[in-house]
Amino acid sequence: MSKLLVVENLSIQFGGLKAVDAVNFHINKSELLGLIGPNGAGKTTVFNIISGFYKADEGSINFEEQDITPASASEVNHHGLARTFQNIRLFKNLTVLENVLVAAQQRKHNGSLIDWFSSLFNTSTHKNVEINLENECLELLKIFELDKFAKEMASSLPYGAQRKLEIVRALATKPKLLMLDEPAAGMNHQETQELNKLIRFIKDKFNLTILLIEHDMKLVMNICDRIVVLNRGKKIADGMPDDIKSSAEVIEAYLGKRKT
Amino acid sequence: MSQIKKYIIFLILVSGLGLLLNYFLNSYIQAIFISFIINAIMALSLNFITGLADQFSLGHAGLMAIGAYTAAVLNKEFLDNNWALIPVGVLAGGMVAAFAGYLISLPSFRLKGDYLAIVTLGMAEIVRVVLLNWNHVGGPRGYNAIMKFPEFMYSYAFAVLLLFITFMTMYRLKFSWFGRNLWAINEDDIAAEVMGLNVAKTKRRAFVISSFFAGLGGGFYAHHLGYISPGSFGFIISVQILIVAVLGGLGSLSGSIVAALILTFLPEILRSVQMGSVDLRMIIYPILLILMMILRPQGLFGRTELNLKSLKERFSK
Repeated sequence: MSKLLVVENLSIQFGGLKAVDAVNFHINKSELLGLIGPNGAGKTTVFNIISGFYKADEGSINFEEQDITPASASEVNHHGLARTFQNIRLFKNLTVLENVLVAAQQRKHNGSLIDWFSSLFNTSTHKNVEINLENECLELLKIFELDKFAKEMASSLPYGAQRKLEIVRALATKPKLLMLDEPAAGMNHQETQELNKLIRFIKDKFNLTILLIEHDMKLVMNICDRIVVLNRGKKIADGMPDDIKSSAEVIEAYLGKRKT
Repeated sequence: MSQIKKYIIFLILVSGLGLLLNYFLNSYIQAIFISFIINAIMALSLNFITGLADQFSLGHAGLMAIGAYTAAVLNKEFLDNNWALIPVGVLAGGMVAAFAGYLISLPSFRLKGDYLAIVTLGMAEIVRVVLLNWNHVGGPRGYNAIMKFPEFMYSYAFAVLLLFITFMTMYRLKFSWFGRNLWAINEDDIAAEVMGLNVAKTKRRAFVISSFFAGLGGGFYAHHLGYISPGSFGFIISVQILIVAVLGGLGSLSGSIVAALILTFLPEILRSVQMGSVDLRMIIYPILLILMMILRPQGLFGRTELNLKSLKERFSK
C-alpha cells in the first residue's frame, strides 16, 4: 500500500500554546483514516495546516511525494486535496448549482486571455464550456439527489442537505484526498446513519481517500480503517478501531484517570 | 438573428434620443444628460468591485482623477488639442488608471471590509494631494483649456458608446466564470480559497478592471467640462459614486444606471421646488435617500438585473 499523505513532525505554536506538537502520521491510498481526540486536541488545527490556512512552524507535509508544506489553500486544492468545514461554509446566496459550479470551474477556467475574450464576447466555445460544466455539475448533484434543488438558494436547504452539498462541492474539485471536518456535527441519529452510508458510498464511487475528524464515536469506530488519536497537540495512539477502543491512554485522555 | 435585431432597435432608440436632445432640448439638459452617463460609468465601475466582490472601495474619485489628468495632459501637451483624438486620450486615461489600480491593489487587498475602504480612501487622498502640489498641471488652480467636445452629438455618441462598452463588459463578466468567482468571494472568501480559487489574484483583477473604467469615466469627464482641478475629485465624489451604486443595488449593473439617472436628474428637478426663500431640494433629497434605506435596504434592484420579461409578468398580474 502506498502512502498518499505523509505528515512529519508537524508543530505549530499560538503564543505560548503548542497547539500541535511534533505530530507524525500518514494516510495510505484509499484508506479511511479517522482523526479523533477530546476538545482542543488540535484536530482542526492539523486540518488547517494541511489545507494551507496555517503555516506550520516545523515539520513537513508530503502529498503524493510532493512537498506541499508551503502551498497556499488554493494551491493545496490544485494538488488534489479538498476539505469541508466544521461550521458549514456554503455560498449561501448562490444557488445549489452555482455552489458546485464555482468549485468545478476552477479546473476549466485558468484565466487565460482566450478565457477572458470568449466570455466577454460570449462565443460559442464559451457557451459550450458553460453547458458542459453545468451538465457535469448537475450529474454530480443527481448522484446525491440534490438535483431537484439545483435552482434553489443554498441557504434554503435543510441542514442535512447543506452538509451534503458541502461534500458535493468539495467533490466537484475532483480531489484525491477528501478531508471532512466533523460532518456529523449537529445531526441526529438517523441523519448520522445516512452520513455513514454516504461516506462509504463516495469513497467507493470516486475511489477516494478520506481523512475524517469526528466526535461521534459510533460513526468513527464503524467506518474508519484506522484511527489516529490526538490529545493536547500530541499524537497518543494510532491503530485499528478495536485497538483504540481498548487503549488505556485514549480512555484516559477522554475520561481521565481511574482512582486507585 | 434576434440578437442583431435587438442591437438595431437599441441603436435607433439611442440615436433618436440623441437627435431629440440635440435639436429640441437646450444645452442645460444636454449637460445633465452627459453627467448622468459619467455618473453611470463611475457607479458601474464601483459596483463591479464593491457590489459583486464585496470589496469596499472609497477611492474611486482618485482613480477618476488619474484618468482625467492623464487624458487632459495627453491631449493638450502631446496631441495639440486635437478634438478627433479625444478618444485616444480617454483610453489612455483608462489604462493609466488601471495600472494605478494594480499598484494600489498590491498592498491594500490584504485587507477587507472597512479597513480596505480606509486604505483606498487614503490612496485617493494621496492622488489628490499630489495633484494639488504639482505645479505643472496647475496645482490648486486646476488644469484648464482642455479640448472640449466641439459638438454635442460627438460627446453624446462617445458617451453612450463608453457606457455601452462598460455595461456590456461588466454584464458579460458578471454572468461568466469570473462573475461566479466574484460572488463566491463575496459570500465566503475562505470557502472560495479552499475550492482552489486564488482569492487575492481574483480581487486584484476585478479591481484593475474597475479602475480601468473609472479612468475612462474620468477622462471623459475632463473633456466634457474642459477644466479639472484636484478639488473636483475629493472624498465627497467617492461617496456620491457609492450612493449611486448602493441605491441601484449592490451587484445590480442595470440598477446602477437607473440610480444614476434618478440621482442626476432628481436634484435638478427639485431645484425648482422652492417654498418662499427656502430651498426644499436640500430637504427632499436626503429624505428620499433615508426612505430608500428604510424601505429597500438592498437597493432598487438588489442583485438582480432589470429584465423586460419579468417586468411585464409583474405588471400583467
